[in-house]
Amino acid sequence: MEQTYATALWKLVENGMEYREAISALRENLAKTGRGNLLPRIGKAFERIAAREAAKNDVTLIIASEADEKKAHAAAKKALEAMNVDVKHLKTRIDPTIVGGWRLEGAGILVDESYKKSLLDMYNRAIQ
Amino acid sequence: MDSTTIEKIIKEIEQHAPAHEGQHVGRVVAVGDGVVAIDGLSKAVMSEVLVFEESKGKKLAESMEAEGELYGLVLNLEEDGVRATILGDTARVAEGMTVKSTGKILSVPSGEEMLGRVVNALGEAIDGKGPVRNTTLMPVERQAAGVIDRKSVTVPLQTGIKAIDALIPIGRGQRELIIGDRGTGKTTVAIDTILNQLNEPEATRPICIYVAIGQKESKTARIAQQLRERGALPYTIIVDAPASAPAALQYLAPFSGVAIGEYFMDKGKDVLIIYDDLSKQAVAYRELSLLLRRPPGREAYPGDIFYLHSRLLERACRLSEEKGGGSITALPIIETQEGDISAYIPTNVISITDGQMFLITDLFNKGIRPAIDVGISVSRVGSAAQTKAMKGVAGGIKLELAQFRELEAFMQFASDLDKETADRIASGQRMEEVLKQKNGEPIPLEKQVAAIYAGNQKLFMGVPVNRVTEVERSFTDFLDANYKDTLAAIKKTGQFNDEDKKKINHAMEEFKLAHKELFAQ
Ligand SMILES: Nc1ncnc2c1ncn2[C@@H]1O[C@H](COP(=O)(O)OP(=O)(O)OP(=O)(O)O)[C@@H](O)[C@H]1O
Ligand SMILES: [Mg+2]
Repeated sequence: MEQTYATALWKLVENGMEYREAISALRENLAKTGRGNLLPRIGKAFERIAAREAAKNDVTLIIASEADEKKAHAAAKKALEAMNVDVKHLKTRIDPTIVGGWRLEGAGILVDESYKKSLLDMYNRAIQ
Repeated sequence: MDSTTIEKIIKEIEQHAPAHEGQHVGRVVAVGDGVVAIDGLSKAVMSEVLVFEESKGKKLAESMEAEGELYGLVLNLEEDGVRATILGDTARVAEGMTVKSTGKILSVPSGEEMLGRVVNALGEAIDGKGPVRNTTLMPVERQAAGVIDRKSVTVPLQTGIKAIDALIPIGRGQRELIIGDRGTGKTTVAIDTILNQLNEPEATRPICIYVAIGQKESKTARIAQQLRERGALPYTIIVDAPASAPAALQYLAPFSGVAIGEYFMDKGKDVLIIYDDLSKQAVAYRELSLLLRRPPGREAYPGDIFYLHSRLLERACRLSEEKGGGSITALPIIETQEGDISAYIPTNVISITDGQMFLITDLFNKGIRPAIDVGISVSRVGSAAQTKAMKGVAGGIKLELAQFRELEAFMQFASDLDKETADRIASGQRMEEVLKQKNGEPIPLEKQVAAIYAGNQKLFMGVPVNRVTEVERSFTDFLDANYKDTLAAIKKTGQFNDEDKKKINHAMEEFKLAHKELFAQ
């Protein structure tokens, strides 16, 4: 239920309605149908939609250490171009567990060029 | 094209192909009871296999300790994501985990080296004898063969159980339901049928697949043990999704079993598959569907439960010669509650199968075992496959037994019976005894024919009812010792001609003389 209201609210604002206006319309509607106490849950659902929408365009480049950044950045850019993914903000994060190489994650895709993945693949093939 | 050219082409393509292939991924947003909600994966399809990325954020050494990849199976496509079931331990999945799509529909390995093994619903060996090698992947969901690729049922599948082979004969490629309450001997009928395949020549012996769904592990272990001891395991595969396994695996197991069987059918082999039982699979599917938030229908089962069982049983068939002539015979088992066959799942499966054998608690308790009610059990297509020898001797039994049951009921009121009625009752009682059979003792066709023929010829009329089974046993042993050739001839030709009859008549006389003490009455 709250999901449906939150989606409606999101769409209203996205389609150009002023946000205060949209919220008051929603509250009025809830009061009329006796569902006023749903509001906090709608708020939570709305946050989830916002997070999901943000993640749609967010792509993170993960590297093992700062030293790798320049090389990884160039390679990642190339990979994104090849996949026709247009990235507005490419964030960078350091995760030493990937050992080396890089990893791109976000917008529903994953490119894993980390050393950890190669090593794990090799290990798993060997023990099979 | 020569190999160097091929290599060059591949090199060339590799140079121009994008170096880094992106994978479609989603994120786990909720997890519980074997089911996950995943955000994203907009390109996923039904029944697609997903891989949970457990190694993220973990050290390499830690990831190396993981017990193999953890898979999921897409079961619901939703607006912003998918719902999937976890094919393994739910505890390994956490919120926020990345889930990778594979673009592959679920498949299981199959192959000759799987014979004699116990595997789980994913086809992975669980008998501690190491992985199964040299396998071919078979899709778990596959369109059943169409009408043009099928042939009618003409070859018998011998169960080794007299009451079945004589009165409700089964043909290779048929679907015959075994239905009855708890503890009525359903599993026994199925396992004895597997044991009986030892009596078939190796070249045409069916591959047997026993799918245990929601059973106690100890029960399945005992069955495996029995098959091993009797030498039946080398042509059998056990697919085990025990009661302790996640609902998803119990739901999948029959489909995995038939996929494993299709490998052999495609090679022109005959396969016998047992689903023990589909009631428990239906319950697992109901549980799964409720977790997937699908709307429940009758008896809280989801609306597509009929389709679940029909698309499974459709895959049992006999292929045409052009398609190799292989077959899958299915013996699904359904457990009823207090004999209620009008409940939802029983009626569904009855309507999908070619025949049904009803096992009845009352008969079982009266000592009539196997407890098959031959009056209401049917095999609609199997009689076309019954051997001539059996057809010849079994023809009149059904009617005789039906009349006997009627008279028996009547007898409770009448005090003095005329001789004809008394004789009929005496004869019926003895035929009932002839059809009794201990569990674990399937009998080859030729001996069944001889025993039933002897019954028809009133050999047992001089024997007290409670000793008929024993006398029948010593008679067939006698034939084994002294009339081997006659038995072999029946087996070889599938016929029971006048010459054979004469010999068996002769054998009966000899037997009577040799065992005067048995015929004292
Ligand atoms: N023909 C038979 N002669 C003697 N005993 C039998 C016969 N058939 C089955 N039994 C015995 O009856 C019991 C129940 O048999 P079985 O397990 O095959 O029944 P079931 O219907 O599969 O039971 P469940 O509902 O528990 O799965 C077993 O102990 C078995 O040994
Ligand atoms: Mg059973």
